[in-house]
Amino acid sequence: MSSDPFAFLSPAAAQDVALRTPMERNHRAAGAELEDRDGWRIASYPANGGASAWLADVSHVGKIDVRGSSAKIDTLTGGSELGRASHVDGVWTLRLSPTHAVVLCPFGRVAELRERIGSGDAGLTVVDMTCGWAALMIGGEHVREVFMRSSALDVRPHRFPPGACVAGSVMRCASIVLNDEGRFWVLCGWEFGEYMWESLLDAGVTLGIAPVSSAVALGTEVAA
Amino acid sequence: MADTRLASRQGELIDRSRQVSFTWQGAEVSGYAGDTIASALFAAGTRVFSRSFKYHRRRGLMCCAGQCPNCLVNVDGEPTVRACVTPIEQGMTVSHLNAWPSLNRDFLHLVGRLTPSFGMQVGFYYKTFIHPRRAWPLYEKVLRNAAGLGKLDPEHRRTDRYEKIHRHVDVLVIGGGEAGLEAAAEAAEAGKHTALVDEGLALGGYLAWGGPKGHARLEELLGRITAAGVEVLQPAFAGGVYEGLLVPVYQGRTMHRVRPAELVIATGAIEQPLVFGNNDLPGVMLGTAARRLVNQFRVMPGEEAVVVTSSDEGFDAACDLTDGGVNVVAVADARPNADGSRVEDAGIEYLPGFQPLQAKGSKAVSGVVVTRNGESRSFGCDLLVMAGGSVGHTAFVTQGGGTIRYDRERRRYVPDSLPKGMRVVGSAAGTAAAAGAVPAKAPKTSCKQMVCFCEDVTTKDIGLSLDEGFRSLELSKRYTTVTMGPCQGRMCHRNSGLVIADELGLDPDAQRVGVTTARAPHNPTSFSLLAARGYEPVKRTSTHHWHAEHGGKMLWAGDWKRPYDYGDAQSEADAVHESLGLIDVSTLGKLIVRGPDAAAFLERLYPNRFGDMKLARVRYGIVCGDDGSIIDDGTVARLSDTEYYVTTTSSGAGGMEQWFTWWNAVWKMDCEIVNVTSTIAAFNLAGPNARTALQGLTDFDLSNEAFPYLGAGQAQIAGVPCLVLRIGFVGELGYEIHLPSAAAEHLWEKLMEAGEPYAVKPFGLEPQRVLRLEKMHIIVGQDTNAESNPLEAGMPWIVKLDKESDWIGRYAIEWYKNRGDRFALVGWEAQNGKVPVEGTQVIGSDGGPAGRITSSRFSRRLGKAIGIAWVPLSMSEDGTGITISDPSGATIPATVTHKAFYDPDGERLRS
Repeated sequence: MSSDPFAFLSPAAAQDVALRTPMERNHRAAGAELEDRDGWRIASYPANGGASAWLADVSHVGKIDVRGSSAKIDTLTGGSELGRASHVDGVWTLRLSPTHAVVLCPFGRVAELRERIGSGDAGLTVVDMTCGWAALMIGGEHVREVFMRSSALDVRPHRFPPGACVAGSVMRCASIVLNDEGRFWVLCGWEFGEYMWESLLDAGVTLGIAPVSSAVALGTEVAA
Repeated sequence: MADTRLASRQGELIDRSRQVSFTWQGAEVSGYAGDTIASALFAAGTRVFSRSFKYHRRRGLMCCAGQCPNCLVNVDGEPTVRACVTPIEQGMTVSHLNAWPSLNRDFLHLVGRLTPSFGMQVGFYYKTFIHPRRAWPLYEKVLRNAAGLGKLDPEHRRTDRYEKIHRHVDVLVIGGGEAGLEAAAEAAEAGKHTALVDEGLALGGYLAWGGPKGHARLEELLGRITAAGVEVLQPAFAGGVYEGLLVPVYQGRTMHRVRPAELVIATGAIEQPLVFGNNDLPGVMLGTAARRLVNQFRVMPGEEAVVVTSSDEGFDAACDLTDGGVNVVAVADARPNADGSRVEDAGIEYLPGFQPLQAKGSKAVSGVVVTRNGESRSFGCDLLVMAGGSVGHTAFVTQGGGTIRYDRERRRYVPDSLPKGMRVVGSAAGTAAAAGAVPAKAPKTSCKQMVCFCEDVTTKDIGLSLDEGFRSLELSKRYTTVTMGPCQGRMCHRNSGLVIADELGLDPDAQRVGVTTARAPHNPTSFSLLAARGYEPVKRTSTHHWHAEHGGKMLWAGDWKRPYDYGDAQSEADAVHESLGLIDVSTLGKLIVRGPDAAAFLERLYPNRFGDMKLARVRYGIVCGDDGSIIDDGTVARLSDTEYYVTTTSSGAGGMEQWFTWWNAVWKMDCEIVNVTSTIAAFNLAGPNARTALQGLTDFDLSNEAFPYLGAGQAQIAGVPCLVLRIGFVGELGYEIHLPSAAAEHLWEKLMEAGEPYAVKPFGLEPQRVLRLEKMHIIVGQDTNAESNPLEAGMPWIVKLDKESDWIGRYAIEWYKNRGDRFALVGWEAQNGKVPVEGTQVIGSDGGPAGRITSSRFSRRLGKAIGIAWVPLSMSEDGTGITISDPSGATIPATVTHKAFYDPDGERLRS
């Protein structure tokens, strides 16, 4: 057996494989071009002309699930309170519960971060969940209005400021939500990705929602 | 009819510069922007708006506030629209709800004429339409066509979009009258995020419809809520109060699901009708209704009016009517000692101590008889105003979990205990003045005395229910349906209680007859609003679209979409036996269990032994509940000293994660459980050519020597990191390949490509079911139920009672062992080629049901019908003949077998 018994969870170890997000058919149907970037087929949409709400597929982003004692999670998150996330060097660390944290990072850094977080500390369970959660990002002026048509979570500015995170139900699916400077990440089970994409687009249709490229949403090119 | 529009005045809701046309009963009608359907029709001379529910009596405007059922109409195909609160729109089509052939000539009113001799009194459906029995289909057809309020056109398709929006606010105020506006202003001025909902056409409640004297105060309050930033949802109505103070607010085509930190009930008070003969004639209306017509819509409600009252509110009505040019002939006041000088000063005859006996007229009111201690007076009138006092609108209090009590001094129900986060203000809290004399029950007359206008329940009906033993409001309600109609007691809860108290000889002020609870929704609500956008979560595997694009019949399997087959289930099963098949089993639950105590944890959860498992091996296991019943099954692979990979059934994934997590929290063992069901896709490549095909894609040694049956190994297959489990649910040489979901479509395509030389076929759920049945592999939840223990299910080998550690279900299974088996799960082969329906019975020696068929299929490979069944122990011996029932009435002979039907020794599986 491999030295990493859970290597089979991680798409980072795939070679010459076109990795696909659950929403690929949606993107094709919407006329997006699919470009190969860092092993992933990423959708590229034409500029949306400043839609008041937008939706992006960022499922290719690296995601790591970390569980352990509250003291160990304290150390990992720098003592973040429950429901708060820190953003350092392009990496988000979300404190979801006393013993549970989630890391969002550029896909190319998953292996390095898994190693760094898990090394020398057998008390932490560090699992590559890149393919466990589909990731969508909602943004634009009407981001909260779109979200209010999708979830009962309280995302009023004073209750859900930038850097806040919460686990709850979005479109009737167990999800994790993060406020990234006014853009909302929504992580849901990979198997719900297509459903979530279609549902959020439907929720925002009266608000003029439009799909955008992940590069636009993230404000950066996908890092290797 | 004289022009009924009054001169313009401040506070009117109509905009006389804009005419709006619509149709009523096919004829064009004009009104002003701001008119309601009711006010426009009334101004145009309409007096009959509907027919009552049971007796089809003519009904006119009564409340003008959306509380009563009298003006329910059909608007643009939508039934049960309240005409008195619905603004007119250009081109609207309005029609009546429930008359035939027309509103003015309704044959169904003969029902009322025929009672009681025909038997339409309360409870008639328990006593009539019974004989002759063969006529019931006819009775049913007639009754169904006659009953109900309006029809839904099955061809009417709604294309409008309905929305559901989740809202959180600090304070939600229900009711935009004076108290509600004040509460909202105060909350917002204190910095709280405040929303106010009001169902009226204008904010202000009494301040708006009560005449000019309230306007200054209204302006002040409106200015405050605007300045403070109160969000106003109006016109909109609160549908009810649900658990956790969740309040659905319906506004147009939007449901706002509002969760306030604080809920303020400011729903005011509702004027009550009086009970007397023919009190439902068109032209008989509440005082507040008449005042709304005069003050808000500037419509004269009549020319000659009589006011019958039991409170000072009747005086207010009389004065407003006089100001509106109506000749108020008399005010009859049930209170013998009230101060009627205000009325007398207005030149109106005042009759203290007189109460109404009967309204006169047939199609509309033409007069009234009032009586006092045997003395009667008659008056001619075309408007009879009844002011029976007001009761606080406390429906939301009781719906939200609060209670109400009767306040003797105020003679009304008031809130008693309130749930956390709720407060009540204004008239709803009972702050208004006393309701006045409690009206005694009206003397008997030959005509109907309506108590419940929605359900046509009369005083006689209530009396009958009491005679028949239904001697409280709750019981009478269930027999008579009083308070069950659209108003949910707003017009009749008090009066029905008074009538019952009177009949039972109770002091009405004591109100010991009980109360009922108004049920949500507060107003008629369309299902479109309740359903809104139908978001139904659907799980799709990463190769979903490949299956659909290649002929897969995608059906629901739990909450997943999976291919049933690809067009020919039997050929797909044949392909697995003869060469090669590939199935997507990504839906399997998958859990990581890791940590120093992982092995010990699994030992406690399973009746199997896992502590002795070698590395790189996989083992089948079942999970039992505390009662020893089988709750799930799957496999456990040991990946390292402290790391295990567990699979569960597809539908059991979430439940097993909870089960594992729960017990870990109880035992506080040093291990973690991570649900990776979504992360991992899984395929099963099976068939005699599985090894050959797969070997072409990997350097991992798949030979039987290097990778025997029940082995587990990590391999790179077509560039994808995989975990390969050599197991076989379908009975042939097979490899279950687990890999990251994002690479699934890539690997699936590579496997199909590699399998082409071997005529590989994808196979779906149906062929899989046939294949597993040939091997007599059970499906938990189909072949087992909540009473199935592993001993009776034919798996005593899996239960290790000699394990050192205790394990879940051990005590129960030890008990079953000592008791002995009563049933057995066995295989069977049909003898006549017929395939029994799953769920049919195995017939016992006495001809009754003795067992049950849990699985049944025809195997083309074996050329016979096979299956699994529960049978009594006495019928479970190998080779026993059993008889299976069939829905057609025929029976199917079969033979019990204990061995797998196909490859019973597992040679092909282990090859």
